[in-house]
Amino acid sequence: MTKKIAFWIFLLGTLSSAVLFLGLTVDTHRQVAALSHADKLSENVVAGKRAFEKYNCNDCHTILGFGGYYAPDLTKVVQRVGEDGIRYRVKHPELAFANSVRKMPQQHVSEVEIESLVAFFNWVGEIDNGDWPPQDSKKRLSRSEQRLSLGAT
Amino acid sequence: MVYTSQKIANWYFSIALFLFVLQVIMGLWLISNYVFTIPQEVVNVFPFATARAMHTNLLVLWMLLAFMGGTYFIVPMETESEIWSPNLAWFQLIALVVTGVVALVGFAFGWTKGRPLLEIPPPLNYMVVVGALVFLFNVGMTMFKARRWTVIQGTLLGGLVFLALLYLAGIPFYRNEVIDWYYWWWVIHLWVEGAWELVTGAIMAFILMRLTGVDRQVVEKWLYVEIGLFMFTGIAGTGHHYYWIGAPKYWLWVGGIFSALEPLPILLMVIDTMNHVRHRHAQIVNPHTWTIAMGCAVFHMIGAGVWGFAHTLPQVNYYTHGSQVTVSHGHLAFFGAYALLNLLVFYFAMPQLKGIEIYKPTRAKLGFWTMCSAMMLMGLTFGIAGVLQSYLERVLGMGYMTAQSYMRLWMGVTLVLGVFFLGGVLITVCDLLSPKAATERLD
Repeated sequence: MTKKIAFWIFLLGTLSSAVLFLGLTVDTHRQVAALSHADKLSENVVAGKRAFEKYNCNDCHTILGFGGYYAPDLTKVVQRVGEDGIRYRVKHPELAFANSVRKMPQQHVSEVEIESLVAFFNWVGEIDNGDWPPQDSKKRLSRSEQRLSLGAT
Repeated sequence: MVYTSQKIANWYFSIALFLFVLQVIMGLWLISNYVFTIPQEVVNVFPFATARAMHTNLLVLWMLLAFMGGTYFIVPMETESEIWSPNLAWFQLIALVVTGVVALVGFAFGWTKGRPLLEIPPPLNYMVVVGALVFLFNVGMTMFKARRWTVIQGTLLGGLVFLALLYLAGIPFYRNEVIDWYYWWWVIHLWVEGAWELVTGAIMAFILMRLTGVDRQVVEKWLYVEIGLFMFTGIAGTGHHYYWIGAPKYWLWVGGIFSALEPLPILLMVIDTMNHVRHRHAQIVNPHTWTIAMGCAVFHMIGAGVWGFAHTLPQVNYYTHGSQVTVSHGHLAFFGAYALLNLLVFYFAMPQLKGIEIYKPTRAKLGFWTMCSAMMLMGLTFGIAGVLQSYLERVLGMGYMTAQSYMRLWMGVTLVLGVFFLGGVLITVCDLLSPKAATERLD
């Protein structure tokens, strides 16, 4: 193999992958509005996203699987603990996690911000993301349901 | 060392090493949070999130400073000329260090953009951009004035320009969380599996050429093939981060297929490194430098290639995504591909910059093997914790904290290993800051 051929391998390899990637990026932008229900992306939801970032929640928690692994994923947090569950944990983490081996900081989040956070988590929970995370999937049977389906008493 | 302006590199390297030590200390604090119960009063003032922001930003900062220092060391030798403006190199170093210090102190007081790894808030972002532009201008002018173009420096400059451009994708505020993650990965993935690989390829090629005396034409030919494969697999391979974010389903195919090919260029780099050494024309005067080069290639292969492949297919990733499996992969890959690469550059350049041609390798070997052993074992313990988490939480559906309780033992072992790792880092840093000439051994 000559250096010239090697150069063409580099050029074609880079360009072909870049063209594919950028093409799919354009198409992703076209589809994301439907997949993420962008029509429900209200100012309150965006304010919730800003609050989520302001308090650096994402460096302890993951959301859509990304972020810190120190605390539970928040993608389906509304489905898991409910809106009031979120309010209580954010407002009084010192009480909610009093008996937990891991604590959550008391950041004095305002009432308005808490409501925006709830709206944000509600919106994120509805994103069509391939039914992830598996532990919150509605398609999966719970352990007791599995036992029942196997005929256990 | 032939060019006096190369000396600036030593400052970049020394500061990078200091930040590396801080990063590891912060890592020990983070793992302690998994092992012990930190009192609420402490958590309120210094939460895990703040420490994590510091840990990851210190990583990015020390690596970027090391890349820049490495570039200021390599470019004069490649262009056979002095750096265009040593003053600009100084200005840029000070600007970036001040920005970094302000950012780290700011995190402690809650001044953050709140995006993992990209926590540096907007006004400081622009300082980073200015620093990067000054750097690229200075390096570009050095090459332009010298009018001596090589594939190695072209790849280096290309990688650095690509790196700087990608950083811009992380600056805006995105209203839609899906789009936010989409472009977040343009920075993070396309850095570590794109731009940084170009920088790595160029630096490895340069050092191997200097170390082994292998003909430039051969080295540069394989460099083209390597970076071609890195770009081909790495760019579309970004798709493996788009599986579960609310992007179209075809990313499962694109991400899966291209990611499965991602170990290939790394494997080529290992074979390439071994071949160059086998066919060397020059005697390797510092065998330990070659050991680090080989260690970097192999660790890169294990951490980024094998560990990455292990959980990149959608069928596996559905269960391992966002678990300690990712942490295991992240640590092995960053250490293997980039920390060892930078240590390779440091061991190649720093003794030379102090006028030592052959250094005494005793402490270097102790530091290297301590770090590598500890990190390899840390990869395994994080990995065991991750597999436990994936099975207990994701497969069996146990609650998050219940699953975490089964992982605690392994996090405790990781803490012990982390202490050993810090020991290895301290030995290495002391050795690099005051290298001893080999002749002293005879005294």
